[in-house]
Amino acid sequence: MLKQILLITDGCSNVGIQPAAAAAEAYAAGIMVNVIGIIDEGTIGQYGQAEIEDIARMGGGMSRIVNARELSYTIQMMTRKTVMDTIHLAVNRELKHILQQESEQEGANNYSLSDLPPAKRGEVVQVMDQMSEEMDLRVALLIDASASMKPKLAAVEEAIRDLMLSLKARRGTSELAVFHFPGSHEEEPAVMDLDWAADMDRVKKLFSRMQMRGTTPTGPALLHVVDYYQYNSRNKPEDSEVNPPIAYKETGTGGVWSDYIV
Amino acid sequence: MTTSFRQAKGRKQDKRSIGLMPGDRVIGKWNSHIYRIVRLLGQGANGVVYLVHQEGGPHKSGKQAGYALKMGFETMELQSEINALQVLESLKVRKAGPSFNQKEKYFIESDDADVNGTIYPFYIMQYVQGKTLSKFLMKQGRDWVGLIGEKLLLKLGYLHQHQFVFGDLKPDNVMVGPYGEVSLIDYGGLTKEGDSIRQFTEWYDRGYWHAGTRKADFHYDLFAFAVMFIHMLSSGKLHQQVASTLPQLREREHLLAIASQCKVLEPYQPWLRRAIHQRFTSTEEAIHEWKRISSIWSRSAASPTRPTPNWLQWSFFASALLLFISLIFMMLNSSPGFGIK
Repeated sequence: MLKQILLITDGCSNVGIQPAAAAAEAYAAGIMVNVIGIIDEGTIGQYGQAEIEDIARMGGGMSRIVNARELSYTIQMMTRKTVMDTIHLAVNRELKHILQQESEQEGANNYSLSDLPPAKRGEVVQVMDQMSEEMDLRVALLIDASASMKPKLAAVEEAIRDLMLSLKARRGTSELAVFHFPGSHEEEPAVMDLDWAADMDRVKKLFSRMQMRGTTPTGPALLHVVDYYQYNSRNKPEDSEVNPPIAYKETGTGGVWSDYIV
Repeated sequence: MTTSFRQAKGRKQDKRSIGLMPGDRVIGKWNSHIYRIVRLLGQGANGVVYLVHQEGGPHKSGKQAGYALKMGFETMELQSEINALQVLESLKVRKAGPSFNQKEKYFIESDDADVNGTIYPFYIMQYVQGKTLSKFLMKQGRDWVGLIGEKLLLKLGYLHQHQFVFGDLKPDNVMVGPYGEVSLIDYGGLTKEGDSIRQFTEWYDRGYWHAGTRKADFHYDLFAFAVMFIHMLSSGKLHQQVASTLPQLREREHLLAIASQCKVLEPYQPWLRRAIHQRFTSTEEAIHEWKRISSIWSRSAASPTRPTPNWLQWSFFASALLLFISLIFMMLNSSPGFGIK
């Protein structure tokens, strides 16, 4: 199962642990962190931009700064890219294997699809496509709900629904959870709006119990979601073990895989 | 799960260009074939398409044969598209449908090329001459809706018959040739039935209209087909309607409401309603029904008459004005005479 957190924010954190450190902790627990900085007009500020990039880098994910109109597209693009990158990691080892047989060249470590002759790419990509269609996926969305984000929440909700619609069409299981931060009091860094769900048709309004407060505890909120991933998924025992982000590793070693390639 | 949005062209981080100019040579790294760029044909979300000639390539009656060369930004994505085209090629060998043109070649070869120091993957396909669907209908008139629609449905029907869904159906992806032949271009959205649609354009997407899922089935294409014709023939009314509606309230009844205001689509109303509400039992049924309507309509007196051309209206107006002015002059010149006599 591929696990990721998608943080949507419009500014800098000002309370608690550094968000980049929290993201590193998430990554160590097998959860990739992607970040979207959302703006109206103008810029997000040099400091904010640096923070966003740091979080994504430490979280093994990517970051983008976009305006609300592009949110839906960006979220889907990122989710898809995270899935693909994970598969690439798994496939790379296989590619290395094939390419070393091909050319007998030793030493090189970083193989990619483009090292393979075009005629041989077809089958590899077919398998990768199938993996991306069938891989189980969990995305936790973490939404900054500070006062400045309020006018953008409608766009955020629309984008989340659109993401759900796309994920629902996949063959693999896809689940979404939604959190916002800060919570209503100091001890509550983030509040859950939607528990793991594969469908949002019955959810009328996502952000109903929301209180706008001044602080932006991005770091603590990230940790809150990491904890949730690890301790609140007990109903599915196979998830509780801590996997490295390359969650799809098993497929690469199976006999099925080699059949496709040779 | 890829979306190709309408605004994609204006998006900053996606505005990637390759920078090949007419006359530049693209040299295949693996097959060593050389292609010379003739001109740019189009730019999409995941690549750029050029018209090319192959150096030392086949000639057709003294003229060099043109190919379309698609250069991609990402090897994986482009290969995935090539796979789709190769599947179509293999279907052709197995069994050719009645609507099928044997000469049509989806895929010729793929290779990599070095362009100013960056390696890009590309593939070569047949160059399809013609106009995009919206341009064709604008130029040739709406009498063609029935015939072009039918030919397009047959193309889709061929894919559906083989458990494939085209996915990214939109006016830009439908070409109409000089003899009214219809071809689909850009197979990046081609999806096996039951998988999630690989590439779509928001505006023509069933999910965007809150009308269903993004799982590939034949209804998905028929829905996009309906939106496409309503959009093309309602001269911008659909955009206005949607712009004034909250996104969560957008629904298929808006499409049908706009369709009902459009004279050309009047006979096709029941068909569009069924396509949008996904009530056809198969694409064959949809084709049959479309044919029935279009043949009745094109033979009836009620078919839309050609509008008076602009130049004729203007010359009529100008000559009327001229007459009016000369009458006034005549009156003015002769009136003193009246007074004296």
